Amino acid sequence: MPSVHIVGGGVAGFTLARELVSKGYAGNIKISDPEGLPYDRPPLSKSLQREYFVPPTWFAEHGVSLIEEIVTELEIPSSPDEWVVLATGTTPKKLQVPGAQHARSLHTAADASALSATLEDGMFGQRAVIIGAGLVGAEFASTAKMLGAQVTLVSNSSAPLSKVLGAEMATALHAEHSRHGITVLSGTPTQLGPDYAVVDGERIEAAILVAAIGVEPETTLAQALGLEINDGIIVDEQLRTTEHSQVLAIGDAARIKDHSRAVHWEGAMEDAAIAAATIMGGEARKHSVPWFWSDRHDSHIEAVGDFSQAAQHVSRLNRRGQLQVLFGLNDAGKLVAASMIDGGQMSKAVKRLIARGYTPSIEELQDSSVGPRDLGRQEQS
Amino acid sequence: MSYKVGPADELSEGEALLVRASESGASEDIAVFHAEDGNFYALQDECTHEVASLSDGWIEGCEVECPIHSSSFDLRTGKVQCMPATVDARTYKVAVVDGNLELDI
Repeated sequence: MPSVHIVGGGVAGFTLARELVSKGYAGNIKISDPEGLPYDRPPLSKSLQREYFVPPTWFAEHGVSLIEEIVTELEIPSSPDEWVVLATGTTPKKLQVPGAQHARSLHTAADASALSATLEDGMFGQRAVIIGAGLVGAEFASTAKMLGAQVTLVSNSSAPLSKVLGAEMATALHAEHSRHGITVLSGTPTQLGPDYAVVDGERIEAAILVAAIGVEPETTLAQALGLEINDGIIVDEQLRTTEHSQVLAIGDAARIKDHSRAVHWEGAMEDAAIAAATIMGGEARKHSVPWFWSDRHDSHIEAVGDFSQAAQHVSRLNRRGQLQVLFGLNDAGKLVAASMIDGGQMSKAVKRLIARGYTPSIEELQDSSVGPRDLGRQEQS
Repeated sequence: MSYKVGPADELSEGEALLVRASESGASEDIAVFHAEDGNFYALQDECTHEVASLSDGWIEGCEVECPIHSSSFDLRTGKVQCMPATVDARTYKVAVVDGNLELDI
Protein backbone atom coordinates (compact mmCIF):
# COMPACT_ATOMS: atom_id res chain seq x y z
CA MET A 1 0.00 0.00 0.00
CA PRO A 2 1.37 3.42 -0.89
CA SER A 3 2.36 5.46 2.15
CA VAL A 4 3.66 8.85 3.20
CA HIS A 5 5.29 9.20 6.59
CA ILE A 6 5.60 12.86 7.58
CA VAL A 7 7.99 13.57 10.44
CA GLY A 8 6.93 16.83 12.09
CA GLY A 9 3.46 18.34 12.41
CA GLY A 10 4.28 22.02 12.03
CA VAL A 11 2.82 24.15 9.26
CA ALA A 12 4.86 22.33 6.58
CA GLY A 13 4.07 18.78 7.74
CA PHE A 14 0.43 19.40 8.50
CA THR A 15 -0.15 21.27 5.23
CA LEU A 16 1.35 18.36 3.33
CA ALA A 17 -1.12 15.96 4.95
CA ARG A 18 -3.91 18.36 4.10
CA GLU A 19 -2.74 18.69 0.47
CA LEU A 20 -2.54 14.91 0.07
CA VAL A 21 -6.03 14.50 1.51
CA SER A 22 -7.51 17.20 -0.70
CA LYS A 23 -5.88 15.69 -3.78
CA GLY A 24 -7.34 12.27 -2.92
CA TYR A 25 -4.11 10.44 -2.12
CA ALA A 26 -4.87 6.72 -2.06
CA GLY A 27 -2.52 5.47 0.62
CA ASN A 28 -1.58 5.71 4.27
CA ILE A 29 -0.68 9.13 5.60
CA LYS A 30 1.06 9.28 8.95
CA ILE A 31 2.33 12.29 10.90
CA SER A 32 4.78 11.75 13.73
CA ASP A 33 5.22 14.60 16.19
CA PRO A 34 6.14 14.48 19.88
CA GLU A 35 3.87 17.46 20.49
CA GLY A 36 0.76 15.69 19.26
CA LEU A 37 -2.05 17.66 17.67
CA PRO A 38 -0.59 20.06 15.06
CA TYR A 39 -0.81 23.75 15.87
CA ASP A 40 0.17 27.01 14.24
CA ARG A 41 3.41 28.50 15.54
CA PRO A 42 3.13 32.25 14.73
CA PRO A 43 0.54 32.98 17.49
CA LEU A 44 2.90 31.65 20.19
CA SER A 45 4.96 34.81 20.49
CA LYS A 46 2.05 37.12 19.62
CA SER A 47 -0.52 35.91 22.12
CA LEU A 48 1.12 32.92 23.90
CA GLN A 49 -1.83 30.89 22.64
CA ARG A 50 -1.86 27.47 21.04
CA GLU A 51 -4.10 27.54 17.97
CA TYR A 52 -4.73 24.14 16.42
CA PHE A 53 -4.94 23.97 12.64
CA VAL A 54 -7.97 21.67 12.78
CA PRO A 55 -9.97 19.91 15.49
CA PRO A 56 -8.69 16.49 16.66
CA THR A 57 -11.49 14.70 14.79
CA TRP A 58 -10.10 15.90 11.44
CA PHE A 59 -7.37 13.24 11.44
CA ALA A 60 -9.64 10.21 11.85
CA GLU A 61 -12.19 11.70 9.44
CA HIS A 62 -9.55 11.97 6.73
CA GLY A 63 -7.67 8.76 7.48
CA VAL A 64 -4.51 10.48 8.67
CA SER A 65 -2.78 8.79 11.60
CA LEU A 66 -1.21 11.12 14.09
CA ILE A 67 1.43 9.50 16.29
CA GLU A 68 2.86 11.27 19.33
CA GLU A 69 6.49 10.20 19.09
CA ILE A 70 10.03 11.35 18.52
CA VAL A 71 11.41 9.64 15.46
CA THR A 72 15.07 8.80 15.89
CA GLU A 73 15.47 6.25 13.13
CA LEU A 74 13.64 5.29 10.00
CA GLU A 75 13.87 2.81 7.23
CA ILE A 76 14.65 4.30 3.86
CA PRO A 77 11.67 3.49 1.62
CA SER A 78 12.36 0.55 -0.64
CA SER A 79 9.32 0.74 -2.90
CA PRO A 80 8.64 3.62 -5.32
CA ASP A 81 5.29 4.40 -3.70
CA GLU A 82 6.62 4.74 -0.16
CA TRP A 83 7.70 8.17 0.95
CA VAL A 84 9.31 9.75 3.98
CA VAL A 85 9.05 13.51 4.40
CA LEU A 86 11.18 15.31 6.96
CA ALA A 87 9.40 18.41 8.23
CA THR A 88 11.44 18.70 11.40
CA GLY A 89 11.58 22.49 11.54
CA THR A 90 14.09 24.28 13.71
CA THR A 91 15.44 24.37 17.23
CA PRO A 92 16.28 27.56 19.12
CA LYS A 93 19.96 28.52 19.29
CA LYS A 94 21.43 28.39 22.78
CA LEU A 95 23.25 31.27 24.41
CA GLN A 96 26.92 30.62 24.96
CA VAL A 97 27.41 32.27 28.36
CA PRO A 98 27.78 30.97 31.92
CA GLY A 99 24.33 30.18 33.30
CA ALA A 100 22.79 29.90 29.82
CA GLN A 101 20.60 27.04 31.07
CA HIS A 102 18.56 29.57 33.05
CA ALA A 103 17.23 31.17 29.90
CA ARG A 104 14.02 29.76 28.52
CA SER A 105 13.10 29.68 24.87
CA LEU A 106 9.82 30.49 23.18
CA HIS A 107 9.52 27.90 20.48
CA THR A 108 6.80 25.43 21.39
CA ALA A 109 3.27 25.68 22.75
CA ALA A 110 4.59 24.28 26.03
CA ASP A 111 7.14 27.13 26.21
CA ALA A 112 4.40 29.66 25.54
CA SER A 113 2.08 28.25 28.14
CA ALA A 114 4.84 28.11 30.80
CA LEU A 115 5.75 31.74 30.08
CA SER A 116 2.12 32.72 30.20
CA ALA A 117 1.74 31.05 33.62
CA THR A 118 4.77 32.87 35.05
CA LEU A 119 3.61 36.19 33.65
CA GLU A 120 0.25 35.77 35.34
CA ASP A 121 1.92 34.86 38.62
CA GLY A 122 3.20 38.32 39.46
CA MET A 123 0.71 40.53 41.23
CA PHE A 124 2.50 43.73 40.28
CA GLY A 125 3.93 42.59 36.99
CA GLN A 126 6.85 40.25 36.59
CA ARG A 127 10.23 41.38 35.46
CA ALA A 128 11.29 39.86 32.19
CA VAL A 129 14.64 40.04 30.44
CA ILE A 130 14.54 39.07 26.79
CA ILE A 131 17.79 38.47 24.99
CA GLY A 132 17.52 39.03 21.26
CA ALA A 133 15.21 41.52 19.53
CA GLY A 134 14.48 39.66 16.30
CA LEU A 135 10.96 38.58 15.37
CA VAL A 136 10.33 36.32 18.37
CA GLY A 137 12.15 38.52 20.92
CA ALA A 138 10.37 41.69 19.79
CA GLU A 139 6.97 40.03 19.67
CA PHE A 140 7.35 38.42 23.08
CA ALA A 141 8.60 41.74 24.56
CA SER A 142 5.46 43.41 23.26
CA THR A 143 3.20 40.59 24.53
CA ALA A 144 4.84 40.47 27.97
CA LYS A 145 4.55 44.24 28.27
CA MET A 146 0.89 44.05 27.34
CA LEU A 147 0.40 41.45 30.08
CA GLY A 148 1.82 43.87 32.62
CA ALA A 149 5.44 42.75 32.85
CA GLN A 150 8.38 45.09 33.28
CA VAL A 151 10.38 44.22 30.23
CA THR A 152 14.06 44.66 29.42
CA LEU A 153 15.01 43.84 25.85
CA VAL A 154 18.69 43.17 25.22
CA SER A 155 20.04 43.30 21.68
CA ASN A 156 23.53 43.36 20.29
CA SER A 157 22.26 45.41 17.36
CA SER A 158 20.77 48.90 17.20
CA ALA A 159 18.66 47.78 14.24
CA PRO A 160 17.81 44.09 14.54
CA LEU A 161 16.23 42.54 11.44
CA SER A 162 17.93 45.05 9.12
CA LYS A 163 18.66 42.26 6.66
CA VAL A 164 14.99 41.40 6.24
CA LEU A 165 13.28 44.77 6.81
CA GLY A 166 15.88 47.24 5.52
CA ALA A 167 17.93 49.36 7.93
CA GLU A 168 15.61 52.37 8.07
CA MET A 169 12.55 50.26 8.88
CA ALA A 170 14.48 48.12 11.37
CA THR A 171 15.73 51.24 13.18
CA ALA A 172 12.27 52.82 13.30
CA LEU A 173 10.68 49.64 14.66
CA HIS A 174 13.38 49.03 17.25
CA ALA A 175 12.84 52.58 18.55
CA GLU A 176 9.16 51.76 19.11
CA HIS A 177 10.03 49.46 22.02
CA SER A 178 11.18 52.22 24.35
CA ARG A 179 8.26 54.37 23.31
CA HIS A 180 6.04 51.58 24.61
CA GLY A 181 7.74 51.44 27.98
CA ILE A 182 10.26 48.68 27.35
CA THR A 183 13.82 49.17 28.58
CA VAL A 184 16.10 48.56 25.62
CA LEU A 185 19.74 47.72 26.24
CA SER A 186 22.38 47.20 23.63
CA GLY A 187 24.95 44.55 24.33
CA THR A 188 25.08 40.89 25.18
CA PRO A 189 24.66 39.23 28.55
CA THR A 190 27.87 37.96 30.13
CA GLN A 191 26.24 35.79 32.76
CA LEU A 192 22.81 34.46 33.69
CA GLY A 193 21.51 33.16 36.99
CA PRO A 194 18.18 31.62 38.02
CA ASP A 195 16.65 35.07 38.47
CA TYR A 196 19.07 37.56 37.00
CA ALA A 197 21.09 38.50 33.96
CA VAL A 198 24.32 40.48 33.84
CA VAL A 199 24.47 42.87 30.91
CA ASP A 200 27.30 45.38 30.55
CA GLY A 201 28.39 44.69 34.13
CA GLU A 202 24.92 45.51 35.42
CA ARG A 203 22.90 42.88 37.24
CA ILE A 204 19.22 42.86 36.24
CA GLU A 205 16.79 40.90 38.42
CA ALA A 206 14.12 39.04 36.49
CA ALA A 207 11.70 36.19 37.11
CA ILE A 208 11.67 35.46 33.41
CA LEU A 209 14.75 35.12 31.24
CA VAL A 210 14.16 34.35 27.60
CA ALA A 211 16.78 33.77 24.92
CA ALA A 212 15.44 34.55 21.46
CA ILE A 213 18.63 34.64 19.45
CA GLY A 214 17.46 32.74 16.43
CA VAL A 215 16.93 29.17 15.36
CA GLU A 216 18.80 26.52 13.42
CA PRO A 217 17.49 23.68 11.28
CA GLU A 218 16.63 20.53 13.24
CA THR A 219 18.64 17.86 11.47
CA THR A 220 19.21 15.14 14.08
CA LEU A 221 17.12 12.59 12.18
CA ALA A 222 18.51 13.68 8.82
CA GLN A 223 22.01 13.09 10.18
CA ALA A 224 21.04 9.64 11.40
CA LEU A 225 19.80 8.88 7.89
CA GLY A 226 23.10 10.07 6.44
CA LEU A 227 21.56 12.90 4.43
CA GLU A 228 23.54 15.84 3.08
CA ILE A 229 23.27 18.77 5.49
CA ASN A 230 24.64 22.25 5.06
CA ASP A 231 22.56 24.94 6.78
CA GLY A 232 19.54 22.68 6.34
CA ILE A 233 18.82 19.37 4.69
CA ILE A 234 19.85 19.78 1.07
CA VAL A 235 17.08 19.12 -1.46
CA ASP A 236 16.43 19.67 -5.15
CA GLU A 237 13.61 21.77 -6.66
CA GLN A 238 11.19 18.86 -6.11
CA LEU A 239 12.35 18.78 -2.47
CA ARG A 240 14.00 15.37 -2.85
CA THR A 241 17.06 14.82 -0.71
CA THR A 242 20.23 14.24 -2.68
CA GLU A 243 20.74 10.67 -1.39
CA HIS A 244 17.25 9.19 -1.51
CA SER A 245 14.67 10.24 -4.07
CA GLN A 246 11.84 8.86 -1.89
CA VAL A 247 12.97 10.91 1.11
CA LEU A 248 11.90 14.55 0.93
CA ALA A 249 12.58 17.48 3.25
CA ILE A 250 10.32 20.52 3.52
CA GLY A 251 9.89 23.71 5.51
CA ASP A 252 12.46 25.41 7.74
CA ALA A 253 14.62 22.29 8.03
CA ALA A 254 15.24 22.08 4.29
CA ARG A 255 17.33 24.14 1.91
CA ILE A 256 17.15 23.96 -1.87
CA LYS A 257 20.64 23.47 -3.24
CA ASP A 258 22.31 26.75 -4.26
CA HIS A 259 19.52 28.81 -2.68
CA SER A 260 19.44 30.45 0.71
CA ARG A 261 17.23 28.75 3.25
CA ALA A 262 13.66 30.07 3.22
CA VAL A 263 12.43 30.32 6.79
CA HIS A 264 8.90 31.60 6.70
CA TRP A 265 5.46 30.26 7.32
CA GLU A 266 4.15 30.86 3.81
CA GLY A 267 7.22 29.29 2.21
CA ALA A 268 6.70 26.20 4.40
CA MET A 269 3.14 25.85 3.09
CA GLU A 270 4.34 26.23 -0.49
CA ASP A 271 6.93 23.51 0.16
CA ALA A 272 4.07 21.25 1.24
CA ALA A 273 2.25 21.83 -2.05
CA ILE A 274 5.42 21.11 -4.02
CA ALA A 275 6.05 17.92 -2.01
CA ALA A 276 2.48 16.79 -2.66
CA ALA A 277 3.09 17.22 -6.39
CA THR A 278 6.38 15.32 -6.16
CA ILE A 279 4.59 12.44 -4.42
CA MET A 280 1.40 12.36 -6.50
CA GLY A 281 2.61 13.81 -9.78
CA GLY A 282 1.13 16.88 -11.38
CA GLU A 283 2.05 20.50 -11.60
CA ALA A 284 3.15 22.28 -8.42
CA ARG A 285 2.79 25.97 -7.87
CA LYS A 286 6.22 27.58 -7.78
CA HIS A 287 7.37 29.44 -4.70
CA SER A 288 5.89 32.90 -4.68
CA VAL A 289 7.66 36.11 -3.70
CA PRO A 290 8.59 35.65 -0.02
CA TRP A 291 6.32 37.31 2.54
CA PHE A 292 6.09 37.34 6.31
CA TRP A 293 4.37 39.32 8.99
CA SER A 294 4.99 40.24 12.60
CA ASP A 295 2.75 41.88 15.19
CA ARG A 296 3.97 44.06 18.02
CA HIS A 297 2.75 47.10 19.93
CA ASP A 298 -0.51 47.12 17.97
CA SER A 299 1.35 47.37 14.66
CA HIS A 300 1.09 44.84 11.85
CA ILE A 301 4.46 44.63 10.15
CA GLU A 302 5.01 42.91 6.83
CA ALA A 303 7.95 42.30 4.56
CA VAL A 304 7.91 41.13 0.96
CA GLY A 305 10.72 40.07 -1.33
CA ASP A 306 14.40 40.01 -0.46
CA PHE A 307 16.15 43.04 1.02
CA SER A 308 19.54 41.39 0.61
CA GLN A 309 19.23 42.16 -3.11
CA ALA A 310 18.45 45.83 -2.52
CA ALA A 311 21.09 48.44 -3.35
CA GLN A 312 18.86 51.45 -2.84
CA HIS A 313 15.99 52.18 -0.45
CA VAL A 314 12.98 54.42 -1.15
CA SER A 315 10.86 55.61 1.78
CA ARG A 316 7.16 56.35 1.82
CA LEU A 317 6.11 58.42 4.82
CA ASN A 318 2.67 58.84 6.31
CA ARG A 319 1.07 62.25 6.87
CA ARG A 320 2.82 62.59 10.19
CA GLY A 321 6.16 62.10 8.52
CA GLN A 322 6.69 58.60 9.93
CA LEU A 323 8.10 55.78 7.86
CA GLN A 324 5.27 53.64 6.56
CA VAL A 325 6.74 51.69 3.66
CA LEU A 326 10.35 51.07 2.74
CA PHE A 327 10.96 49.85 -0.81
CA GLY A 328 14.18 48.12 -1.86
CA LEU A 329 15.47 48.45 -5.42
CA ASN A 330 18.41 46.50 -6.80
CA ASP A 331 21.37 48.06 -8.59
CA ALA A 332 19.45 47.97 -11.87
CA GLY A 333 16.67 50.02 -10.23
CA LYS A 334 14.26 47.09 -10.11
CA LEU A 335 11.86 46.66 -7.19
CA VAL A 336 12.98 43.62 -5.15
CA ALA A 337 11.64 44.12 -1.62
CA ALA A 338 9.45 46.18 0.67
CA SER A 339 8.70 46.36 4.37
CA MET A 340 5.74 48.18 5.87
CA ILE A 341 3.84 49.07 9.02
CA ASP A 342 0.05 48.60 8.86
CA GLY A 343 0.37 48.48 5.09
CA GLY A 344 -3.07 47.02 4.35
CA GLN A 345 -3.00 45.84 0.77
CA MET A 346 0.47 47.19 0.08
CA SER A 347 2.16 43.82 0.68
CA LYS A 348 -0.04 42.16 -1.93
CA ALA A 349 0.52 45.00 -4.37
CA VAL A 350 4.29 44.75 -4.00
CA LYS A 351 4.19 40.98 -4.26
CA ARG A 352 2.40 41.31 -7.57
CA LEU A 353 4.74 44.00 -8.83
CA ILE A 354 7.83 41.93 -7.99
CA ALA A 355 6.31 38.77 -9.52
CA ARG A 356 5.58 40.65 -12.73
CA GLY A 357 8.89 42.48 -12.79
CA TYR A 358 7.35 45.93 -12.89
CA THR A 359 8.83 48.86 -10.96
CA PRO A 360 6.78 52.04 -10.47
CA SER A 361 8.62 55.37 -10.59
CA ILE A 362 10.43 56.60 -7.46
CA GLU A 363 7.88 59.41 -7.20
CA GLU A 364 4.98 56.94 -7.18
CA LEU A 365 6.70 54.78 -4.59
CA GLN A 366 7.20 57.80 -2.33
CA ASP A 367 3.78 59.33 -2.85
CA SER A 368 1.40 58.12 -0.12
CA SER A 369 -1.57 59.32 -2.18
CA VAL A 370 -0.86 56.55 -4.70
CA GLY A 371 -2.70 53.67 -3.01
CA PRO A 372 -1.72 50.00 -3.15
CA ARG A 373 -4.35 49.18 -5.77
CA ASP A 374 -3.17 51.94 -8.11
CA LEU A 375 0.42 50.95 -7.54
CA GLY A 376 -0.07 47.19 -7.81
CA ARG A 377 -2.38 47.12 -10.80
CA GLN A 378 0.16 48.75 -13.08
CA GLU A 379 1.48 46.61 -15.89
CA GLN A 380 4.36 46.85 -18.24
CA SER A 381 2.91 48.47 -21.34
CA MET B 1 -34.83 39.82 -0.20
CA SER B 2 -32.73 42.01 -2.34
CA TYR B 3 -30.70 45.04 -1.34
CA LYS B 4 -29.60 47.77 -3.80
CA VAL B 5 -25.91 48.36 -3.25
CA GLY B 6 -25.36 51.12 -5.82
CA PRO B 7 -24.20 51.70 -9.39
CA ALA B 8 -22.05 48.83 -10.68
CA ASP B 9 -19.75 51.15 -12.61
CA GLU B 10 -18.62 52.78 -9.37
CA LEU B 11 -16.88 49.57 -8.30
CA SER B 12 -13.87 49.10 -10.55
CA GLU B 13 -12.29 45.79 -11.35
CA GLY B 14 -10.00 44.61 -8.54
CA GLU B 15 -11.95 46.54 -5.94
CA ALA B 16 -14.35 45.60 -3.19
CA LEU B 17 -16.88 47.35 -1.03
CA LEU B 18 -18.37 46.65 2.35
CA VAL B 19 -22.12 46.40 2.83
CA ARG B 20 -22.79 46.73 6.53
CA ALA B 21 -25.50 44.60 8.08
CA SER B 22 -26.90 47.75 9.68
CA GLU B 23 -27.53 49.24 6.19
CA SER B 24 -28.72 46.16 4.35
CA GLY B 25 -30.64 44.36 7.06
CA ALA B 26 -28.66 41.18 6.33
CA SER B 27 -27.53 39.00 9.21
CA GLU B 28 -23.88 39.97 8.76
CA ASP B 29 -21.54 42.39 6.98
CA ILE B 30 -21.03 41.40 3.34
CA ALA B 31 -18.16 42.19 0.99
CA VAL B 32 -18.96 42.74 -2.70
CA PHE B 33 -16.09 42.18 -5.11
CA HIS B 34 -15.44 43.11 -8.72
CA ALA B 35 -13.14 40.25 -9.73
CA GLU B 36 -10.57 40.30 -12.49
CA ASP B 37 -12.81 38.06 -14.61
CA GLY B 38 -15.10 41.09 -14.86
CA ASN B 39 -17.84 39.57 -12.69
CA PHE B 40 -19.22 40.62 -9.33
CA TYR B 41 -19.24 38.31 -6.31
CA ALA B 42 -20.15 38.59 -2.66
CA LEU B 43 -18.89 36.82 0.47
CA GLN B 44 -19.29 37.23 4.19
CA ASP B 45 -17.00 40.13 5.06
CA GLU B 46 -15.32 38.69 8.13
CA CYS B 47 -12.47 36.29 7.44
CA THR B 48 -13.21 32.83 8.80
CA HIS B 49 -9.82 32.78 10.56
CA GLU B 50 -9.57 35.90 12.71
CA VAL B 51 -11.16 39.32 12.83
CA ALA B 52 -10.35 40.94 9.50
CA SER B 53 -12.45 42.48 6.76
CA LEU B 54 -12.27 40.72 3.40
CA SER B 55 -13.47 43.90 1.70
CA ASP B 56 -10.00 45.24 2.58
CA GLY B 57 -8.44 42.20 0.96
CA TRP B 58 -6.44 41.96 -2.21
CA ILE B 59 -8.24 40.61 -5.26
CA GLU B 60 -6.17 38.42 -7.54
CA GLY B 61 -8.05 36.82 -10.42
CA CYS B 62 -11.13 35.26 -8.80
CA GLU B 63 -9.67 35.07 -5.31
CA VAL B 64 -9.51 37.45 -2.40
CA GLU B 65 -6.63 37.38 0.06
CA CYS B 66 -7.30 38.40 3.64
CA PRO B 67 -5.40 41.59 4.50
CA ILE B 68 -4.01 40.17 7.76
CA HIS B 69 -2.74 36.64 7.25
CA SER B 70 -3.32 36.09 3.50
CA SER B 71 -5.86 33.31 3.80
CA SER B 72 -7.46 33.26 0.38
CA PHE B 73 -10.99 32.45 -0.71
CA ASP B 74 -12.47 31.66 -4.11
CA LEU B 75 -14.90 34.48 -4.82
CA ARG B 76 -17.18 32.19 -6.84
CA THR B 77 -17.59 29.46 -4.24
CA GLY B 78 -16.30 30.89 -0.96
CA LYS B 79 -13.95 27.90 -0.71
CA VAL B 80 -10.82 28.52 1.29
CA GLN B 81 -7.76 28.23 -0.97
CA CYS B 82 -4.98 28.90 1.44
CA MET B 83 -4.43 28.64 5.21
CA PRO B 84 -4.46 29.80 7.98
CA ALA B 85 -8.22 29.84 7.47
CA THR B 86 -9.66 26.34 7.13
CA VAL B 87 -13.37 27.17 7.02
CA ASP B 88 -15.09 28.30 3.80
CA ALA B 89 -16.73 31.72 3.58
CA ARG B 90 -20.45 32.08 2.98
CA THR B 91 -21.37 33.30 -0.48
CA TYR B 92 -24.14 35.71 -1.48
CA LYS B 93 -25.69 36.26 -4.88
CA VAL B 94 -25.06 39.59 -6.49
CA ALA B 95 -26.51 40.71 -9.82
CA VAL B 96 -26.35 43.79 -11.99
CA VAL B 97 -29.89 45.06 -12.61
CA ASP B 98 -30.26 48.19 -14.76
CA GLY B 99 -26.68 49.12 -13.97
CA ASN B 100 -27.14 48.67 -10.24
CA LEU B 101 -25.64 46.04 -7.99
CA GLU B 102 -28.28 44.06 -6.23
CA LEU B 103 -27.38 41.80 -3.37
CA ASP B 104 -29.54 38.84 -2.49
CA ILE B 105 -29.71 38.74 1.27
